[in-house]
Amino acid sequence: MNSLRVFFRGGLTSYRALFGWLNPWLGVPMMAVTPLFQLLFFAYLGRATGVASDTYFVVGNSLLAAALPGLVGVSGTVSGERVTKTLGMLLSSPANRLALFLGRTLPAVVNGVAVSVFCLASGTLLLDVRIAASAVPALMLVLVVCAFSCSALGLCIGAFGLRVRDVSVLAWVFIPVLLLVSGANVPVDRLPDWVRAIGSGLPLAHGIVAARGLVAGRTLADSGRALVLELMIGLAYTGAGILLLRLFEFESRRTASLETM
Amino acid sequence: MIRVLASGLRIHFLQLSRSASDVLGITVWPILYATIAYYMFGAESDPRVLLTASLGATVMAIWSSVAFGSGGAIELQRRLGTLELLVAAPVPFGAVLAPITIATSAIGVYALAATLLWGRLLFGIPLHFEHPLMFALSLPVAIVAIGMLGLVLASTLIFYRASLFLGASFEYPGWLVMGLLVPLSVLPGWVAPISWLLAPTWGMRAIRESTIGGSPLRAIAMCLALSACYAVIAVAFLRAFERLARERATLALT
Repeated sequence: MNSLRVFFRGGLTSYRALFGWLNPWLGVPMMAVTPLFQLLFFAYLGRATGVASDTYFVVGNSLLAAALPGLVGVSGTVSGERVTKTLGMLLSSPANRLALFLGRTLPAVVNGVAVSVFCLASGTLLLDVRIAASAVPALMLVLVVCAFSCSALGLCIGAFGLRVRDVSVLAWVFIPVLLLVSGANVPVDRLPDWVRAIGSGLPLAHGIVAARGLVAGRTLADSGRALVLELMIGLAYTGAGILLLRLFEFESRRTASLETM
Repeated sequence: MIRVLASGLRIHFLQLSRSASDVLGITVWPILYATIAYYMFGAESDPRVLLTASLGATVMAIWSSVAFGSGGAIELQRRLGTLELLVAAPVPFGAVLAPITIATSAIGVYALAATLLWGRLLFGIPLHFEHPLMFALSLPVAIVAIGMLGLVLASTLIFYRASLFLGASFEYPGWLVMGLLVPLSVLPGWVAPISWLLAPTWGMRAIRESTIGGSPLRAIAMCLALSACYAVIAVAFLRAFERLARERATLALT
């Protein structure tokens, strides 16, 4: 029961604290304005370069919008403990580590889905993109899986926050990396093989393929393989994140280096 | 006053240059955005288009640095506990704040170097500048003008506690409206008049025309004129802020 409380309440409190004094409305400029204008920026760049249709960019960037809360949010909930000088107290508490850290990913997944839905809805309205109503339920499933895989990568980045002074830069660098390699904006057939290989090992690439398939009229069964791949990537990063957190916690105790810079 | 501005600019530029995270951010971001632009325009495109994309990515990085840095400039001083000292100093607060915002713009020179080198080495984009002297003039004028826009941003976001978040949310709208990578011709017609009021639009135009040909003097003049306007606006805002903060005793509070 206590672990459940740590998972849900602890995770939510930690995530809300990201926005300062527990007021999530302070995050709205970044969670609404930035992803929407990112979508518009690439859609218009796409029009200027003739790369693809608006639908292509609306779908890709809506999924990509989950990366901001997933990467920056989750990593921030771990690295923020260092800033507020509570990392030592947190790690000396007897709380279940899985509940402690995985609980911080759940609000980011919910936030990621909300941001993605907002972008998808506003992008389709502003750019007059049509998505069949029958595709929406399956599309929602893809959004959830993509938000999960992004949060899982954020957990891995956050783990480095136990040893590295400022992981927020690393999290922020991953955003344009995903812009490039995920296929959200640059069609993957234009990318070199090695960039494609990197993209296929990171969140979003497979989810975006699945989502575009659904919007193009394919069924969930047709897009299932890409969606399963996306889910597996999320699970792999979750496992890696937990292992890294345990490893860095153990190492920091062994070498007394928890808050060394 | 000139000494305050010059030494402030030097100190803040060196301070930002010593921050590995700031330098990493300002060099890696434009490289990635330039790469996205190369692949979207197509590697077989006119080399001048790709060079323009590199420069556009550089000005995008400068604007990002200013949007983040200026939005949080006063907030940072507040956190460090130096805001009262700076306001109480016997020089106008604007003269203390302007070097901070211009320095956040000036570290864009790292972005320029990294992006041009990246384009040259990986994509073979020739570095040919049509008017090298004009380019040498355009760049600092653009940097100062964008930094001064940052000063306006910093002075207007003073009372907003999450000014860093709000400042950062100007990043993409700025990139779009200023025509840094996306030509203004593909945007709705009402966007162009907005872009004329923003220094990065003219800074980009000055840099582009001194690189690929054209007459950058008009754009340089617009940068200078806008810088002066921004200074007047920022000083007015800062004076009002300072008076209110003293009256209410809320300088260090949020």
